[in-house]
Amino acid sequence: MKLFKKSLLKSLWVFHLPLSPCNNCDIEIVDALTPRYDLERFGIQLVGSIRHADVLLVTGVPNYKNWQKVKYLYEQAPKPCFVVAVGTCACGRGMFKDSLNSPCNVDEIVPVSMYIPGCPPKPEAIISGVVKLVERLKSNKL
Amino acid sequence: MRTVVVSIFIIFLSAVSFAREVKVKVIASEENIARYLANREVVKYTSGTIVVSCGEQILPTEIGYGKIIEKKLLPTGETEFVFCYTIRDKHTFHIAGIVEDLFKNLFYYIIFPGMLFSIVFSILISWVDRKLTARIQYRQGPPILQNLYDLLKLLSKEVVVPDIAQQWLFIISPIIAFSCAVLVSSIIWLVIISPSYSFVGDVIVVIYLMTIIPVMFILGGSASGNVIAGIGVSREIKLLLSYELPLITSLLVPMIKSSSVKFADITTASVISSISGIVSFIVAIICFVAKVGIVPFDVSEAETELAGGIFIEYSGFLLGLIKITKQILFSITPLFLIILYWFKGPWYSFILKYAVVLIIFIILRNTNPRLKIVQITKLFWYLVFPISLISVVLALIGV
Ligand code: SF4
Repeated sequence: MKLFKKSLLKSLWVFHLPLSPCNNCDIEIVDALTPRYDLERFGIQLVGSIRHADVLLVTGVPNYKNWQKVKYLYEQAPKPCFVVAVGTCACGRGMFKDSLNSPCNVDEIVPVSMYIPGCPPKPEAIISGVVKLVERLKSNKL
Repeated sequence: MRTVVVSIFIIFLSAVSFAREVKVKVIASEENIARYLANREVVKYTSGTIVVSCGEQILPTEIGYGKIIEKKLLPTGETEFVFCYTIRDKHTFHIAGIVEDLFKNLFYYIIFPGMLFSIVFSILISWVDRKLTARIQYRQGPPILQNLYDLLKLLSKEVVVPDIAQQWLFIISPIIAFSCAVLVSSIIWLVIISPSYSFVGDVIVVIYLMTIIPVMFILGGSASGNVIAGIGVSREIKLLLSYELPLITSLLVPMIKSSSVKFADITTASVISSISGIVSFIVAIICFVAKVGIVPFDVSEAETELAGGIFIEYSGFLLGLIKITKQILFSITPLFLIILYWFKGPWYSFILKYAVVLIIFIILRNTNPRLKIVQITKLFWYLVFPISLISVVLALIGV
């Protein structure tokens, strides 16, 4: 079991789920995967299908069109699956908090394991967030 | 029910017969014996003595494989060997022998050149691939055990089978693909270890087994019921139709050169030293890159446009099997190419040749963009296939 857990932490495959963001957070996520930062060192890969994913990177604010789909997608992912909210929007909706077309926060729909604030967060912040997620998982706090 | 049990018991009893052990003396030079022991084929048994002769053949079922139990140097310079043989009668089975053969084959399939070994080998080779790719892109690259971590993680994860999928086909096709890849790998490694494991037609068996793998991926993808997987499947079928024809045509060249369909005969002919050999070798490399499904020809998977394409619905254990199948295929195709074209030479040159072919694969993968399926079909049918036909004609002429 310990081996399986270790191997899970060493190869987190990331699925990128944009919920109508302003696109800056997405650019920063893609930036974190470029050769300069090279997340493949830690075994982190961007995958295209939710079935392959271990981590759901959520960016942006949920709106009435997509907030149920987040739940639907989370249920489709093979467990264990962790949700990471990237950007102020996904963490707490920021300036869209009282907006008329946003029903709720991301963490009211799915359980969020890690928040990475910033508008947008720097790639360094994203990497340190992922590292903190791995450390929390290691010490069994989740 | 009872009759079945009784008849199985009777068959079992009739199959049992006791083997006789005989000791035979033989006088031969060291060289002949070594050759005999290496090839296990050149012994003739005539009532008490055996004659070692390298031309004649005798069926290995009629006389068991002997073990040397004594060795004496004669003053004439020759050596006297005492062999211990287990003689089996012609018309009865020898149950111990069958069981022994079964266990030996299981060992070959599961442990040494088979499953376990090929998984370890393919994990290392695909690490080389990922690391080199990373270095080409000025990155650091993953640690050496990365593929093992990926595999273990996938094995421990949940398996999701979609509701609309044809479920048993969806589950069984990666398993069949994986066992085919392991079988290919064990056949090829056994031939490399000793040519005596080669059997007539094994090249054709390997080619067929390698074709089963994409066919199984096609079946599994279409069984998943996903629309995007459907697009991937259609692309994979077109890809298969494109590369299979030039691939088999180019593999004809080594068979023509050695006039045999046995690995053991093909390895003795060095095909690459002729013009037709070089041409068909290049063609075969291009076709095998398409067969492995790495970058210039990865339209069916296409992470960025089809989101995993043909494998989009696979998860957990089944996805792990698919990944490891692809890795085994990736690590074994250079070996297959080397055996067919470039085998002659001392054993250490073998590693060098393997590295050369592997690096050609990796460089092809890193310097080419993904081709469209139309371009792939055009490339293979209008350019690669005529070239491979020319190489076959050249081989028939004898160039
Ligand atoms: S957090 Fe800022 S950068 Fe990210 S999606 Fe929201 S507004 Fe855009």
